[in-house]
Amino acid sequence: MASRNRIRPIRKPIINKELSDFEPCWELLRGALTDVHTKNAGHLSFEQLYRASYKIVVNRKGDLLYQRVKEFEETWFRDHVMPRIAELISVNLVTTALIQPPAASAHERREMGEKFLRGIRDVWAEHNTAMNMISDILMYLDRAHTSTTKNPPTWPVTIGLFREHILKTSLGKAATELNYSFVVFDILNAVTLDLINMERDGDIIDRNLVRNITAMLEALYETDDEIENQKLYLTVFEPHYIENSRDFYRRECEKLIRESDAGTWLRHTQRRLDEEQNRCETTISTWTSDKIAKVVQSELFMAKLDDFLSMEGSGLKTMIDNDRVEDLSILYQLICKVDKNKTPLMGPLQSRVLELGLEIEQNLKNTDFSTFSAVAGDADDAAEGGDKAKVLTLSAAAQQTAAAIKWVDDVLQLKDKFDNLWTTCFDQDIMIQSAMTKSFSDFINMFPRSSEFVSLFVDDNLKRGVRGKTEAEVDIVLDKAIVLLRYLTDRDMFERYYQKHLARRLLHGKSDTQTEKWMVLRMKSEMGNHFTSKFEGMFKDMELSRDLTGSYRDHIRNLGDADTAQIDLNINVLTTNNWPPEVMGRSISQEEGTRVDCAYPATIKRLQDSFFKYYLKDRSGRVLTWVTSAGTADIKCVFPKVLGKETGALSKERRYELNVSTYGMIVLMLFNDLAEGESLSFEDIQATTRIPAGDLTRTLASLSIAPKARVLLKNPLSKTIKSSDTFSFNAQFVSKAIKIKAPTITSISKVEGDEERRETEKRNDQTRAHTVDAAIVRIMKQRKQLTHTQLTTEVITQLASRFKPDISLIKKRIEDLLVREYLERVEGESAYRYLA
Amino acid sequence: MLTNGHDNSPSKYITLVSSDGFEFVVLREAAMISPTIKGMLRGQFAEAITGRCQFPEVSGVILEKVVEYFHFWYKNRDKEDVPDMDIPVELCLELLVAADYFGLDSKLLPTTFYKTTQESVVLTFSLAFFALQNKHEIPYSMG
Repeated sequence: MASRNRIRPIRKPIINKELSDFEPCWELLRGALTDVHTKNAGHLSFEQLYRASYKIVVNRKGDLLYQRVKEFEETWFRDHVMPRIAELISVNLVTTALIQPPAASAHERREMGEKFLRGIRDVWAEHNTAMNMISDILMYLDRAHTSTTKNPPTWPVTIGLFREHILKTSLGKAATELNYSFVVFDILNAVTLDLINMERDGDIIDRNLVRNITAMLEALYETDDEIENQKLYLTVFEPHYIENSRDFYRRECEKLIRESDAGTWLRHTQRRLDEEQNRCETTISTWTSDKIAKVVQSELFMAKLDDFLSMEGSGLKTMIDNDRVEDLSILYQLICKVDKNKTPLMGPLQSRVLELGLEIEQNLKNTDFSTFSAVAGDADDAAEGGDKAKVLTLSAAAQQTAAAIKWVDDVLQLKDKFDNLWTTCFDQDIMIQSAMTKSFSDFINMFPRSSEFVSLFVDDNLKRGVRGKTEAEVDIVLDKAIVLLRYLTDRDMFERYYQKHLARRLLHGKSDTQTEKWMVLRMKSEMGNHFTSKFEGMFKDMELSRDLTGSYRDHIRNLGDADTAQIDLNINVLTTNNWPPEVMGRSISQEEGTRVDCAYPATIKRLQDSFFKYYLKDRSGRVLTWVTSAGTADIKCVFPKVLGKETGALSKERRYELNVSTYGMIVLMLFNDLAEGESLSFEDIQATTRIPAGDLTRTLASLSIAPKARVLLKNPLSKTIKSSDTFSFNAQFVSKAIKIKAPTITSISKVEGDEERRETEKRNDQTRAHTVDAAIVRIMKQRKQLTHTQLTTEVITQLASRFKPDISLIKKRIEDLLVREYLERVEGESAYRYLA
Repeated sequence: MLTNGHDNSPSKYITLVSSDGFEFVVLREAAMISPTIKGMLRGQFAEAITGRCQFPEVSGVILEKVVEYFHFWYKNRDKEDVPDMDIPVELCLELLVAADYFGLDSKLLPTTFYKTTQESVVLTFSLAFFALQNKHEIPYSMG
């Protein structure tokens, strides 16, 4: 091996020979320890001291050094540190802090407490610095010596002196003079907590000082082993702090509930939580953040939550009713922290929705809608145009319609309100949304007429859309209507009403087709295809009819028949299944045998025949029925100059275009053949035209009572039509408008009367029965055999999107199917088998 | 050793003095790897005040190697797969003692550093391994 590769032996140090023995080394160190304690270390060489302790350890005298240092420190502590602390502890301090706290004023207590804490802090700071320096010097001792023996390192032993001989001891005069056992730690806790409570009450305290004290407790451990979770802060101070805070907030909560309202309480709780958070960061320790937050939440917030929420005039009810957005936001934030399910908020919220919903219904019953006649008139052509008698006869229906629209409006307003709260206060919480949806659905379905009312509402808005309202506005309203649809469980009822209302709108051209189609499209995406198939069929009928009318006109023009060309025929061919029976003429719902066609004037009859011929040319085998009650006619009328009138409108010949129902047209045509001054009785008219009495009454009323279109004179002049009345041509008729629309009663979408409603329900129940039948058969065909309960559940699930079938209905349908031998009972079980 | 002395702020550097009077100016942060030097500088002793640390029992040759190690560690402190530092065989025993004196013990090193460099850069260990592998007789006698 080359010589440069030979390992050089360790050369013995030549200098500092004196350091090879223990005593000189210890002497050096002892002097240094004293200097360190007296803050006089600036001249000392760390290297020298370190090397001294290094030498001792290397010379295997570490144990001795350890003992000497320990003895030195204990002596020093007893002689120089403890007396300073003992001086701080006066009898007065102990009495005030531990025995009779309220004896002194807050100011005095604070002064005294802060003085004590400052003393502790200063002594601790010195001790801590000194111990740090000493343990640095003795680093080698700790590393090489104490790690091999069982002794704890010098640092915890020396720093622990503070715990053993100060915190856990009673010191000072008070210990001897008072007949009261305590340790310094008790005073420390009591004084610190007293200061913190003072700050909670609004005083200003020395936060830094308190922070220094808690930092000291964080640095000290229960034992010299320094186990992480055994810090004095955690084992002694924190439990005291939590207990003290619990008391404080319990008292505060009791005070608040006696003297304050819910809004103040919420804000206060919020503020206290922030304060405690802040206190943990600046004054005590962030370790306590979560624990103290829990204390505030449980003592100040949860403890009396229900009491506060049900407070009269400021509780949850008031917050919701008065849109106290801020209160509700705080409430939501706080509850989120405490309860993931938010049950304390959810329950009252739901019941409030329900209450408000039922209130709407209650209001509806209590409101006198005659005061709403302006609104109603706005919604209804007829009421607007009718004279006084008309208003009276119509008012009941019109008021009800107004009520329906008001109900929906109110429900939507309520929905808007809660949606608004949901966005601004509840952070768009999904759970709250579904809870509110459920409550809305509950009260809407508790109201028996909701389906009809929603449809009426849509009807009203679509009609209004034609006049005035901007498209965007209508869109918003319709969007909301769709939302309401989602809540309805009896969707088949809605479908029925919507069909009826849609038919009227389409036939009378009352709404914009684009908007109508868009609405149906929306419903389709909400409820599925089967729901809107009939509506789409209706649109299709209308379109086909338009084409048909066009091609028929071309056909006539090509014939060159000048006579019939004078009447412009606009025809709507409607498929029976798609249109509601009401529109398809009462005849459908009545017995076939009693149906009578009314007598058309000859010109009309010719026109009808001509169209029939044209229509059936390409479509043989179809049956066309005239639905007179659903049609209208535009008639050009000429009113002659009235003799004896030289000025004014009456002095000239007047031409008007009159829009009347088909019945109205038939009736008016009769008067064409009448000589001047002649009249016709009600019975005459009925006999000639064979119009059903009810329709005729309505028709005559619209022509002889409403001032806007009074082209007939009635004798006697009264506001109702009797069969004994006679009618004559009103030659003196004047109108400002050239085009006049005779009010048609059938075109008004109004709330059904009780009888009509029963009729509708009956019809709906029939349809439901069929639907249930179909569902049962479909299920049984697939499953072959099922128990009664299983079958019932399946049926309900299948039909959920349409309506909620009664259990009794299902049972009845099963019985019926058993009789009709679609099903049979399984022997000995409550089960059924499908019979193919 | 003032290799990357672009910043001449005095507090960033300290001076180490060997028994034979060699002076080494070291990046303070690099020297702090040694708990001994760290203790020296954080207290209120003469070294902390002057920023000058004298080592009457460490020769210039050894101190140079120790200082080289400080910078080697500092340069590679965030790296992985760091190669061993070149250690002259003839110095290894003296270096072992010096490493002990300076507290360069694996247990005292930051765990991240220990993890990334494994035993390779830990001076005490590598020296001990070296000595054992080469079956040198260790003339180790203190005092």
